[in-house]
Amino acid sequence: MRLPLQAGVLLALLTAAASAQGLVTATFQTATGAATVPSGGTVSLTSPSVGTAVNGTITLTYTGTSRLTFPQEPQLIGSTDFFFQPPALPSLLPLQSVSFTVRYTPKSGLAAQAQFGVALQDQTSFAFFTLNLVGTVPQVVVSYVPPGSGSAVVLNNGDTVSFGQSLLNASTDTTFYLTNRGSAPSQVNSLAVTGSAFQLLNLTPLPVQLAPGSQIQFAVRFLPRAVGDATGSLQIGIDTQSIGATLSGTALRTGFSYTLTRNGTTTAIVPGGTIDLGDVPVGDRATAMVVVTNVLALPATLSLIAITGNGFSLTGGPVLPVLLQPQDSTSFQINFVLPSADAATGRLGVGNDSFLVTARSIGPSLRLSYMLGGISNPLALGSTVPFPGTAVGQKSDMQITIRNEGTGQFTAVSLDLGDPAAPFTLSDFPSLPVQIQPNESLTFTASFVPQTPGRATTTLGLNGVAILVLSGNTASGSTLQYSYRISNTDNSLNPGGIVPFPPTSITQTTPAQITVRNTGTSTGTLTSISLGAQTAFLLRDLPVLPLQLAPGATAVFAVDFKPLAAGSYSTTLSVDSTQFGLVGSAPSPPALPSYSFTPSGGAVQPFQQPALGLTLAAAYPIDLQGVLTLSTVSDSFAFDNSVRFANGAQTVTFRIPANQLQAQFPNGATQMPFQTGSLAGSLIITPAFATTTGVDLTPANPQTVKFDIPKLAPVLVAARMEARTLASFTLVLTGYSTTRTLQNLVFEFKDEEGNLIGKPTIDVTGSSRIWYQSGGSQALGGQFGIDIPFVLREGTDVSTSKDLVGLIKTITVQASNEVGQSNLLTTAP
Amino acid sequence: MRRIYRSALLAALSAAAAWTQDLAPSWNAPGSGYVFDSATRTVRPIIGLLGSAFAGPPAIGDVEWACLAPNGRTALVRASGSVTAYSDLAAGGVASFAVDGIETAASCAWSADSRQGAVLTGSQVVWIGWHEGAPMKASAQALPELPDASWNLLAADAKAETVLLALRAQGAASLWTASPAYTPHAVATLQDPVAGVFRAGSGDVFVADAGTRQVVRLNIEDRNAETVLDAGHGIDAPTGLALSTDAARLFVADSKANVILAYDLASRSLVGTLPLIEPAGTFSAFGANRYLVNRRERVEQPLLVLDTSPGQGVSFIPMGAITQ
Repeated sequence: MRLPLQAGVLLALLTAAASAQGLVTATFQTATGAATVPSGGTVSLTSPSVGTAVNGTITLTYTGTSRLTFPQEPQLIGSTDFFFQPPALPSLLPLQSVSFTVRYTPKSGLAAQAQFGVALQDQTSFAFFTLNLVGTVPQVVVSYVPPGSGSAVVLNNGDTVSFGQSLLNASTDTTFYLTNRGSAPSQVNSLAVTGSAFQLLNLTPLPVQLAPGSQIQFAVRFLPRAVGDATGSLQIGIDTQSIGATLSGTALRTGFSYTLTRNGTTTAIVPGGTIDLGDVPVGDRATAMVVVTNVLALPATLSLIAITGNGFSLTGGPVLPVLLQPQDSTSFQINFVLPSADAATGRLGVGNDSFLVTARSIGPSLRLSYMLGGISNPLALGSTVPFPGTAVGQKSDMQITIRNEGTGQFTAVSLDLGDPAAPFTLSDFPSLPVQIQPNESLTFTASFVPQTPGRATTTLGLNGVAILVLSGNTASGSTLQYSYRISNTDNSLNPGGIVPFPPTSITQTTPAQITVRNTGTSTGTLTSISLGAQTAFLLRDLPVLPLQLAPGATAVFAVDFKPLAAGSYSTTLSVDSTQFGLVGSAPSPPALPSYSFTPSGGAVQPFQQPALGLTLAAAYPIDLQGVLTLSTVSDSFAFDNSVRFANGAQTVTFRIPANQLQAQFPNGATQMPFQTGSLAGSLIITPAFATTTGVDLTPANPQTVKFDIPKLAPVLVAARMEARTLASFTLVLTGYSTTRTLQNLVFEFKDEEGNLIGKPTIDVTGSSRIWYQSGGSQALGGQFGIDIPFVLREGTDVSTSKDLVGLIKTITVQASNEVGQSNLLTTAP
Repeated sequence: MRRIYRSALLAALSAAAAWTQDLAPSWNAPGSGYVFDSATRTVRPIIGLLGSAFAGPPAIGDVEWACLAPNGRTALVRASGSVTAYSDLAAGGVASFAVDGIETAASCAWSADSRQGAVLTGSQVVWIGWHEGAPMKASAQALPELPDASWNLLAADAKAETVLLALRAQGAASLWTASPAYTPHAVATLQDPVAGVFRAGSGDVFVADAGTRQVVRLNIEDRNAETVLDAGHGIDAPTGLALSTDAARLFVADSKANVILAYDLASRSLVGTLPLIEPAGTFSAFGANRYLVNRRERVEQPLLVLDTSPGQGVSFIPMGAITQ
């Protein structure tokens, strides 16, 4: 019953309240406890949430000596969030009690206030008992600012928070606010997100108290790693409530779509794809229009439009950066033109997207070259063809080739010399005009025939256009003399003569110094120095050619003889038109000396990391390289992936420098460690030897080193207790068995005094066989991990609250297989 | 296949109690945690038990920096400029959280139980703890802004609360400490402090000074310092320090001699020399009593592990390239 507030009643309550203490004592009880309250005091009721009712009970006990009566009905005045149903009020004898229940049902987060009052009277006194009631309730509101929005939205349980569209690998953050708009503190217990594309940011340490009027915030990041729709969830635990929301977003590979318009045809193109402008005649221009459209729901800025590649260019694009509203477009034109036939590729970049751009310029494309001394020399259009110095009355020939490397035919109508009086002639060309198809050539001979001393030049014309300059110098006859030096011995060398190199071991080098001296009275010219087909001779220290050689001057260069394999070698050295023979031989390399390993093999234990060295019995005269290969022969037909060298592989390279004995491994050490693994069987290490140039020196049956790992009893490596409760725990055990078998696990549980309180045995014969046949164990040799859950019961009582596990102070475990029993491994809980 | 055992009966602890047990063993492949492989810029699992272990394929690629906790599963990883905290690498991305504000992390140290880490960034030390599987920035202390300053986190105590920092600025080096309870302050000057290790419960920290070829014991509370080992004891080019569990032995890595020297601290005598097959660097914790000794710079290099337990030594983990 609720009474309207009456000023007179309230005044009476306030003025008489002090005297109630002598008549009654009062307690106020809620769900959380009871307390004695004085008349005129204040008590609180806290509801867990708006709309949830909580009760408080006021109990009055008569402490007088006569009889207590209630002249008026109790009253409750104040907030309508409080409700009071007055009971029938009997009179009370000394120490008898009466109770009044007040219900608080908050309609909002605001604090509510009310006052309870009741009149009291016995034979000697009259008084009022009053109690001030304050009702509070937390009211946490979750809100967030949706991406792209400037205002917050309230999040209700079951809502969906959309992050909209986002580019792949780009992040979008949304801030969430937890605001306590209520009048009682609240506790935020947990925050969690699920979904691989969503992450929590700026997480406040939890749990956290949220005072009335206060706020905390956190953020959820949408960071998609895959194209397409992504979903997740957000869970917020506040007091006893849970608020859940679905998180969603869509990842796009790009924010733009593209179309290509070429020759009136429009097609869609995708980033990473290819834009082909097709075949374009040499010198013609091909164009294509690219239209870029923003397909995002948000404005997007386009900051880059660029193209690379020979012949490609862009025109007509927007001024960057340009802001594209959703569905807005911009466009630009791709151009392609090349002056010669060629295939071109480039790269078009638009924002973060890129495209491969291709085109082919088709038509004839001429490449010029001349042949001298067996060497083809390319010529640029308009360049000079240098003839070697030629004595008056002599002739120097040079083959000139015009090759069509384009994609269209070329017609040669005429070949002519610019100065008919110059001492040059053309010969050996077909009847003109002639068609030069793509990849075909026209070759003819140009000759320099000086009739007088001095320098002569003229142009070479093709179809009336000068394409080359022919240039030659006359030289007095027999002015150049040749000599060579090998091993500090000088020898003269006549044209057509031989330079004999001494026998040279493979990988070794014998140099020869060649000297050209101008013994004449006029300047000579060296135009080319070259070698014929060869595999073991190399030119070195060549002068810059063409070289003017004044009277008395010398030119020096070197020829190295460096055989890579045993055998005989010969080739031709050409100095302009003068040729010489080069001959040499390489004897077969000496046989590899015997070698040994340290250690020399034998029995080794599993789980060891020994180091292996290799030593030659005698020094070898040249550098050696080699490979050690580690292989296993298992007794259990299994594979142990841990059997490796320290470099992480089953092979390791080594070098043995010439005239040294010990193999050196990549880390510079003379020993290479390896792991013996955990399987019974044999480890075999096989060497291979070669010269540094690749000549195989490995014996037909190379000596190997073999290490044997015996079958052993199991070995227990570690044990620890996990998932401990009062009556259960899991023992996590690791170890290995070289036989890949296990039979029994025997446990001993002892108490604090060392008394044995249990000795269970587990037969793992079957389950270990299944483990060793499983894919998970195949690469691990004999290693195993086993989790053994124990549940302890006191009699048949499974609901005991006694700490049964705590009674166990040590656990000792021993394993066995067909060979024997393992070490004893003890762990303390 | 799962088999249930119900037959065993444990002896009674008292006349009133009878105990039974259920055993349902499950088998699995043993592992040795995860490591940051600087040669391949990846975080990789170590498959198998040490002594017969090898590196598996990467769990995380394109890693710029990573700091793994001693439990081998908890880590801070920087990739693409942002730092992600993993509470359990074996759980992959499910247990990962982005951590803002430590993108410039240069080094870090973890508590012995892997539940708290201290991270040195360019300008502050940030303490990160774990609550219900999620990381939280517990506190931070700004470092003084000094010209041309270079900070290095040398060591942290067992709770990763007090950290030891080396400062190089203007040609001088000094030692600093910091914790959530107080701002960083200098405690000593050394020539070239390169490594440190706390002795639990004493306020003592051992510091290797490569400049003076000494190991110094410094009490960070009263700031008293004494030289414990010097060149006369064989200290030449120290790079890493570790203590045995009982704090009786000090292990000193020497990058010139390619060894780890073990000293008895009471007698200050050399009691062991552990040869290394790769040059040693700064130690990082890798489980109870275990330390990673080196960083990989080439794919053929193994990782070296020092076990300070009695009777143990240095073993290697073959790593290889990630294409294996």
